[in-house]
Amino acid sequence: MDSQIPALKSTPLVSDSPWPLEEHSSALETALRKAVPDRKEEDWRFLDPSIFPWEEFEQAALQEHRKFGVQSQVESSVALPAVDTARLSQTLAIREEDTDAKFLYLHRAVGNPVVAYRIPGDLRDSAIRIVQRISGPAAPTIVLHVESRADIVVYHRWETAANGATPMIGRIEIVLEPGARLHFLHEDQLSATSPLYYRAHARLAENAHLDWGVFTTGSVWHAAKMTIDLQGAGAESTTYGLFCGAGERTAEHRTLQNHFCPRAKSDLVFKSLLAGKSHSVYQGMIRVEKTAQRTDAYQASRNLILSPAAHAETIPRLEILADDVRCSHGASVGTVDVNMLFYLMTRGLNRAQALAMVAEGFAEEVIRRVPLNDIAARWRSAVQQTIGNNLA
Amino acid sequence: MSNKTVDLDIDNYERYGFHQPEKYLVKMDKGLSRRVVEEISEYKNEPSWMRDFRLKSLDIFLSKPMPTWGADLSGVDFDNIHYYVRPTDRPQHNWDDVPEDIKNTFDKLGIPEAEKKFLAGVGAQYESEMVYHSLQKQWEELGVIFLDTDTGLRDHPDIFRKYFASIVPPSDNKLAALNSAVWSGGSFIYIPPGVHVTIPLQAYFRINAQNMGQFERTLIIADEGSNVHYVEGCTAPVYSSDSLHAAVVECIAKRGARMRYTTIQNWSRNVYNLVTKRAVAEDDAIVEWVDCNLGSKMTMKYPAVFLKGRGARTDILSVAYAGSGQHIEAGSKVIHSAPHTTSVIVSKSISRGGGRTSYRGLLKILNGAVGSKSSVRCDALLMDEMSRSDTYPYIDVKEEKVTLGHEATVSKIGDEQLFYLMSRALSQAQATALIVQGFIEPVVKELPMEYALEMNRLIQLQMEGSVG
Repeated sequence: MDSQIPALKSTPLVSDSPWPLEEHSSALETALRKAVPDRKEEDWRFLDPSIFPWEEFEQAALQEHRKFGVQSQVESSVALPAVDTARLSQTLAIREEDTDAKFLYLHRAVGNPVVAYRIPGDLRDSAIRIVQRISGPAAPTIVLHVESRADIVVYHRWETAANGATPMIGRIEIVLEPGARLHFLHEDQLSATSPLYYRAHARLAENAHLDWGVFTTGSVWHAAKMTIDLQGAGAESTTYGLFCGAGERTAEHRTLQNHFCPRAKSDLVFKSLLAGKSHSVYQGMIRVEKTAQRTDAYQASRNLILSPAAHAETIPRLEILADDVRCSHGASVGTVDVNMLFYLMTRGLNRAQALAMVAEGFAEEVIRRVPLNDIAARWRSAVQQTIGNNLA
Repeated sequence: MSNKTVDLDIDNYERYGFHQPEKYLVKMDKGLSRRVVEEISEYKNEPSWMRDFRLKSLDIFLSKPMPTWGADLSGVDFDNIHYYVRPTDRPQHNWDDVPEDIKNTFDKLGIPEAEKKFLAGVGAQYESEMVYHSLQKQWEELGVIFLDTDTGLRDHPDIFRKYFASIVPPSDNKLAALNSAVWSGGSFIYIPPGVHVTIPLQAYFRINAQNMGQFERTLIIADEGSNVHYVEGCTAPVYSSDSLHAAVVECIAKRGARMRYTTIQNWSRNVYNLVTKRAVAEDDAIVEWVDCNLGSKMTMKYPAVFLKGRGARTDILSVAYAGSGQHIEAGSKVIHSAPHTTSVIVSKSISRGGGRTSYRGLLKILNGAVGSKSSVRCDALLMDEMSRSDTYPYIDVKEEKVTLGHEATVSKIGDEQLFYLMSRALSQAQATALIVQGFIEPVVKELPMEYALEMNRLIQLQMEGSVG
């Protein structure tokens, strides 16, 4: 898709919370009652949840919730209708027994802003860009409800407004109606000292198609839980992610490919490029219910370690209850292959250049899938910077 | 189809599920207490350090919670188990002295013939103690020790005390603590430096008392440059209430030693099989686990290897089969803590008739284990829509210069493969059995010949009636 088309409309948007005030205070009560997730929980074995600045967040939620700044900028060629409140409450419902319920209730308690768009079915070949600048403890929400026949690209980014730590809890909810197509690009670029937790959840009706690209660079402590529910027959999802780790960054990405219906397809590749003392945790799960015959599911975790102090953990899991399926996963961890380096060096590159080329090629497998040229260039330069700093 | 599955299981029980009337010299009351542990130790006339060790382990057992992260163990009732049963007075080395009813059981398993043919030694564990033990003279002359563990403690206290519980301490996990408190029987093997035992050492385990736990403790030491292959096979009769098998296996492969440990596990479908198996490989040593899990109600078994010497290597091959009502969690654990260590893991699992197989693995490469290589491959076959297969591999790498790959697939038998074989005039059942045999071939071909035959026969038996 051509990214050169000038955006017709640029709306700085600071929406209010859709929840009445009581909802905020009751969510806060629940959040305060809930315990910080226990490291004995399977989900939290690898990342320490006590590092998240709970107190700072709770203090923030106690104050007037609208005070906290998330500046949202939306570029779209057409005006987008909002999602109605009833549907919104349904989409954003919180399950009491959720392992991460404390995060979600706290998110609800702070609760602003909610950017919730309905993408009409006649909107095709179009790109929407949403950038949210965070200052102070914040809890932004993105909801995209894509109607049947729509076919669009949405780019979304969280970034820190000024330097400094901006702890954040985010939520992303994507609903695809039958036959809808969405290419969703998500980028986290909070400052290097910011902790971030977010929950992203996509639901696909029959024959819906989701491409989901994820790029993580910032955040000292980053926890993402991404769920793809394939709820309709013939639904398809492709997920590709890249964590560009440097400094002391720790990022965990948990993905869940949930197959409920026959003939659905899900494909996932998650890559980590690890420099400095960075630490990556990838926890993946493909779950195929009995009702999901003829599922085709794949999951891959690839880790390239560039520095002796970097650390990779990967747990790609499968739970298969149906028999007529094709499910597989692969995981790899390693450093740059010496044979590749040797080959490039015989072609006249010095060691640093050769290393950079191999590492960039590793990232390129993800980046080349990005349909917006300017975003691909942006991600590419972030990768080059990480590699360059590591070699320096 | 489900009717046929039930029929099949009955067939299998009739075939392997024979058991003899109980006849014991000592059978302690059910349940676990300080007194029971003291009585076991006293009865065995053990040194005081072992008695203290047992009592300390009991405290650890009581203080640890039941593991909840894997299979459902809520059906294990520790108060409803006999912790010590001793069928005859002392271990005997002559087949003729073994009591008649016990001999009958072994006859049905074909032990004497096997031994006559080419087995180096047979340690047959009936209940909690070795009743029959023989070792061919030539190995004895080479200094090879192959005893039941109780005799090992009595006759070789120095070697025993040096290595016992050095690999699996009682505090390792709740079931290892239980075993440490009440252990009885198992094999004690020592191979002197440079000795190559060319014929497998075998122990045939069997349990035959209702509600009786088996807590055998095996300790194998392969000294520098030695070579040994130890084989254990388990079959168990069928009982109406649940039994527990909680063994601990400790293996030490010294510099340049090569050790292979082969298990064929076919417990009856009411046994909880919760085993802690661990080996340490020193410089250039090779440890191989070959593990076939067919029986039991629930198995949790993760053969572990600590690659702590430079250039050490391990191969772990496993087959798991889960039929109706079974949950088999078989996995592996490898810790690379030295440079240039290698691990290769191949896991094959088959689920049928509502069975569930899980692979749970841990692969850890510590900082400094430069040049380590690891390859993990898990394949699962699902035979019908009632069954389930899971894969939970944990991979943790703290070193940059390593090569690591993990691959897993889950699928059913391909229609094209079936069609091809059936076009060659095989019935669907024959074709299915053939494909399954091919699927587990990479593991079965590593078994000693008579076990490979038995394994194929067992798989064939399980597959009968799996279609149509």
